[in-house]
Amino acid sequence: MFRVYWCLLIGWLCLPYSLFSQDQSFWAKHKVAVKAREKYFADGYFFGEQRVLDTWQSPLIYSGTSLGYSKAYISRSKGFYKEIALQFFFSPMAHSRSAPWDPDLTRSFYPQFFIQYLPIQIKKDSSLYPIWLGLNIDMGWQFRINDRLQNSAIAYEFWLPAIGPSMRIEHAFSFRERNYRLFRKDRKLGPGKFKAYASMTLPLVAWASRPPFSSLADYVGGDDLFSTAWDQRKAASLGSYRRVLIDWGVWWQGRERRSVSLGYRWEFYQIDRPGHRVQSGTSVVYVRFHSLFRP
Amino acid sequence: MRKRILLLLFIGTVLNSCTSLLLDEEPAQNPQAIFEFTWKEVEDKYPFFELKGINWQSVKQKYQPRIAPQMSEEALFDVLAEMVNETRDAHVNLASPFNVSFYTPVFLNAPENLNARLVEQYYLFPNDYYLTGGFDHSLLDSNEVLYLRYESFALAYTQQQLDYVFNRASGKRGLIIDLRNNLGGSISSAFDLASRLADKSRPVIVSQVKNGPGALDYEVPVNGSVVKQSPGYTGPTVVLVNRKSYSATNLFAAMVREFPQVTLMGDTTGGGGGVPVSRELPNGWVLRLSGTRTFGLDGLNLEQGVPPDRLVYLSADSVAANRDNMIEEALRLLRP
Repeated sequence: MFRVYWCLLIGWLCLPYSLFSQDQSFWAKHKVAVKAREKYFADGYFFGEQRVLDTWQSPLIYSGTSLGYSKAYISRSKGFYKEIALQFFFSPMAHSRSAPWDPDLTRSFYPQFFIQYLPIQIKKDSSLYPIWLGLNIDMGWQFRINDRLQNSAIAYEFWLPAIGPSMRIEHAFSFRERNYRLFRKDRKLGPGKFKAYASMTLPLVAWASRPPFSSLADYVGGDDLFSTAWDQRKAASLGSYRRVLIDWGVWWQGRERRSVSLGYRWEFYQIDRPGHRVQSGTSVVYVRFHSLFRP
Repeated sequence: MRKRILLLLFIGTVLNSCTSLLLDEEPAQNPQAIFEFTWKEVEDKYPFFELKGINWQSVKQKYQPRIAPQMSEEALFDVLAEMVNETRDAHVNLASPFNVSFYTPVFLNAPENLNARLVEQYYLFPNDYYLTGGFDHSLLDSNEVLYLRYESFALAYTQQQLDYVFNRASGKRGLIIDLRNNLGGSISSAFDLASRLADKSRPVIVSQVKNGPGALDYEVPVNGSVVKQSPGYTGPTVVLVNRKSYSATNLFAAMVREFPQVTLMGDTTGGGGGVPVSRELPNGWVLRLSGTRTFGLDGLNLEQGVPPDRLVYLSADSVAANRDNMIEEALRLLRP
């Protein structure tokens, strides 16, 4: 039965929402008041690298490929930017001192739920050069499995939620000087336009949890006995939890309802616990396909 | 436009480099650094120094002079293995591609108290006993007692297989569970088996996870409880143990001694009350060491082993007569 649920979930995630979207004539025909706000669903595909130092398990830095997928709802207008995303990442990693007899492969899974809510527009005089400032809320769960000579170890941490300021800048442009038929020469929003964007997010406070100094999670069958130890893990607060997220790229609106963005995201976070520390740096390039479902 | 693209690429490169700058440095990989790291890991995380009267600082002074910059991997392994064996703990192991250290005197300095061939031939009966999910079992004493041998808690079984075994024990006069030479395995399996013998649901052990480098850095104690399961067996039961009943088996012995109908018979179990955790060394080897301490409800630290209710050793005379006097003693105890 669970397989059916998984299939339904994956199917839902992969469903192009544009199938259900309506064009403007639909709204006009039915005399529905349309807000001056663009709403998109976006499918994002991420590819890059992740490096992790988790001294709870190893003094060595593990690095490897990071693959990701995100399903996002994006709403943007002159004075408002909102993004809600579900993100899944998978990173097979190994460390540089792996011996041929044991690659010490680490498999890292980290689903993340992400809300970026930017209601304050600093620069209002031009819709083509807005700067938004607002709040970022995200929660996530990172789960790593390490293959070992004797035991497989599992490490995990989650943050629930991380809250901090976020800023986003957008700047529209076109290749006016180039005689491209593809791009319009005016600066109005529409097909053929580029928008460059950059955002920086600084989650400051989080309830971030890690396994304790020693954990039985890496012992097969030990979880039942020590499940209550979960409650005893202390939250990491300001000072023991540091994180920064920088994201920039270009967004090209190819057609009325289709647009694509190419971007680069860098994220670093660190959690300090008694006796150990986890640090993670992720650099990914991504492509996001946006489907406008309500203009 | 070209300038902007170049600027973006520059920023990307800088950010990627930031990861390298922000990540802490890895430790050196020379023999001295590996020795220091190993010694410190044990010092910070091992929970039984006080219990065993070990001065870990003097252990360092003893072994550090044997470390040389150009020593071979085998020589380094030997020194480190000898050092971690000072903990006198079979749960403390060093693993490399060519060797794994294991502290054996825990078992070798005690009578073996088991003759496996004799048990197989005269109590399980070749070609006659049942093999159900890792349990070897046969009926003894005019089919009135179920004899159950479980060689390792690492041998998996299903709940249906456990149901079958305990359905077979149902209505019998007694049950013997032979855990001699069972070195342990899954803690969950130990709890599952104990839950079939429980007279009622109850806490049976107390455990503490070490959560910091200080001698007193432990999380609050957590009770480990069994929940009575059916089908089970709450008639007279004898659990046979020897010094090689270790780790999960040691834990099982501590659990079942709380049940009034269970008699623990044989030698004191081997210990292994700290559940092991694994850590990597700077050269990729793996150090496994006890990361918790576990107590019986009476405060007994299970690292010391669980003493039997009835101390019985296997006698040479008995073996010469093709009898296992420990099983015979259990059968006598189960007779009305």
